Amino acid sequence: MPKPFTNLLLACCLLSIPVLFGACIKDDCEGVQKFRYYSPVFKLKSEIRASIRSGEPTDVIRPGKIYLYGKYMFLNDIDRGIHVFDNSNPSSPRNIAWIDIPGNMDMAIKGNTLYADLYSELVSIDITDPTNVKLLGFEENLFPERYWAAALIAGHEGQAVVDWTSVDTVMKVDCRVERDDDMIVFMDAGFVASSFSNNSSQSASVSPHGIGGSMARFTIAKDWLYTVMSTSLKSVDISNPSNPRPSNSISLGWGAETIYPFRDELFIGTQTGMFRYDISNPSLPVKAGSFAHVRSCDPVVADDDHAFVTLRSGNACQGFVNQLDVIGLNNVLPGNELPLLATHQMVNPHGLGIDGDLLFICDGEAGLKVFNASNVNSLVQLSVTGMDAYDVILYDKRAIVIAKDGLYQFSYSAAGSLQQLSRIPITVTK
Amino acid sequence: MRIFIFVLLLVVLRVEGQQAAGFRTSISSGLALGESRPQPVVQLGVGYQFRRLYTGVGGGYDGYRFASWPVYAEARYYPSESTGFYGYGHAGYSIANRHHRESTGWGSGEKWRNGGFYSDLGIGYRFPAGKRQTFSFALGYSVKNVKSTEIYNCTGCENDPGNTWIDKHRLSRILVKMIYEFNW
Repeated sequence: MPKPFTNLLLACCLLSIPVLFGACIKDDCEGVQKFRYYSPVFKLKSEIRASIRSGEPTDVIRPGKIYLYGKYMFLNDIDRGIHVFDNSNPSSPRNIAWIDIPGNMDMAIKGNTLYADLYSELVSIDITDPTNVKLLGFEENLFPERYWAAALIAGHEGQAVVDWTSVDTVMKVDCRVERDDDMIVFMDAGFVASSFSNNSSQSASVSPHGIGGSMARFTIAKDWLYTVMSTSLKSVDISNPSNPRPSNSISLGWGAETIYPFRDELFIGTQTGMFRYDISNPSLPVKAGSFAHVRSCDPVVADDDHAFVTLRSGNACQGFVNQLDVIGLNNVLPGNELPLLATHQMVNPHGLGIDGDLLFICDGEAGLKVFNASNVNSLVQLSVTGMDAYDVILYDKRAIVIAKDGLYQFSYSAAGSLQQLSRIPITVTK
Repeated sequence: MRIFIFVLLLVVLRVEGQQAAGFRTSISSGLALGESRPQPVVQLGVGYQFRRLYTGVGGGYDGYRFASWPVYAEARYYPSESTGFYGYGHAGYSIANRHHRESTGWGSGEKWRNGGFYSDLGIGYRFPAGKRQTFSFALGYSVKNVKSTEIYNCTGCENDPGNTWIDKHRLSRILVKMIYEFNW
């Protein structure tokens, strides 16, 4: 065979490769996605109300806020209800009951009445015997913002999500086109709950009211319950426990998170600043000062002269600062602004408490820190513990601390040293 | 298309040559053409030629779709010991180990790639460029497998296993290469 012909034949073979394999030249991909699929469990409102009762003690699944009342400690389990501990012996608290309140995140106690949120409703419960609570009444639609968190889903009006079932799922997906490198975050029930009700409680009032923490959204002063829910401060007359009557709603702008009572004042932490309200007229709080700060989460406590505000970043707080701001309460600047006296850097501060000169700060993973705050310009750290703490209640020289791994109780001395009395372990199981 | 025409011209303008047996090193560069955007391919191989059979090992860079580094065993068969067409095959493993983490206030993510089987089967045409050197042009059908895994977890969802995607890519393409070879 002549060489040119051979070459031409071979060249044709060479060039035929793309043609022969053309159909095969493609980017195939077999993709699977593994995830946990959550399905809501719905209940009618009437069923939910009927289910509010004491039950057998149960494990803590997702700890929320804490509240002290008499010899009892109440621990919120986010969106599920409230654990009741007999704290007669702080060295050995006993889990004695469980109060089933779906959608619950906050609480406050006066007399023998527990006030708690149930999704968008306020529920009052007689806790004279915490092992056998009695339902007193409801106030509907007091917290309309909560609908979104506990979901009124089309076709399920008049119902609420009381639980979630989950199934680990594997699904085939189209992966022929590469996914974007950007972060993809899927929200689930756990996320929703944790973002909007992280924590717990803190100090200052006296019996017959209970004591809540600096992260609380509910507080009680005299015969009034005050609540903050993202945009508003609401006052509720609770002189008749079985018939709480909402009075006024005051707009706070956006991002209200915590409320702290001190004498005749309320200190409200929002994501953009702190507000001071005079409640001499308890039905109608009057703004008495404010302090603006960069966007962050900011629980607040106060004494006669100062308000202590922690600012932290992360989660829904966004922002980028982690610090303690000390604000003066004795001078008001033009525009009703309160002066910043000092700033101290922290790691990731959450709840805090003040007892005289002792300032307790839950500094996230850096632990619970105790400072001597007699000179607010120069805090002196007295002690630190090693838990991942996020709120503290100070009562009777005891610090009750809610942390990631448990509910701790410490006794503390005037010198700020801490001695652990007990720990109720929290093992997240769901 | 220009490449194909160029190859065709080379075939027609065949140059005679005689190559000695022995150890050889080859350096290749070219393009991977497929469904995705064309990407460069660079390879380095060493081996031994005995009569019409060449065997060796090689490795290089393959930028097609996911950057990877193939390592492979190679065999060639030369119907003629001199200038002319030959067939070749590569089989090995394509290394792809890009690892990436990121974290925000909303969550954290991690993604990485694992390599997989790599092959290249085709024909080439060589012509001498001196006593100990040759140039070749080759056209082959190649497959590389890459496994991509992504895991995302949201902040506050400690009890949730997160979302995991596992994608097994099988990328088929045509490799067009120019090869420079020399005897030791």
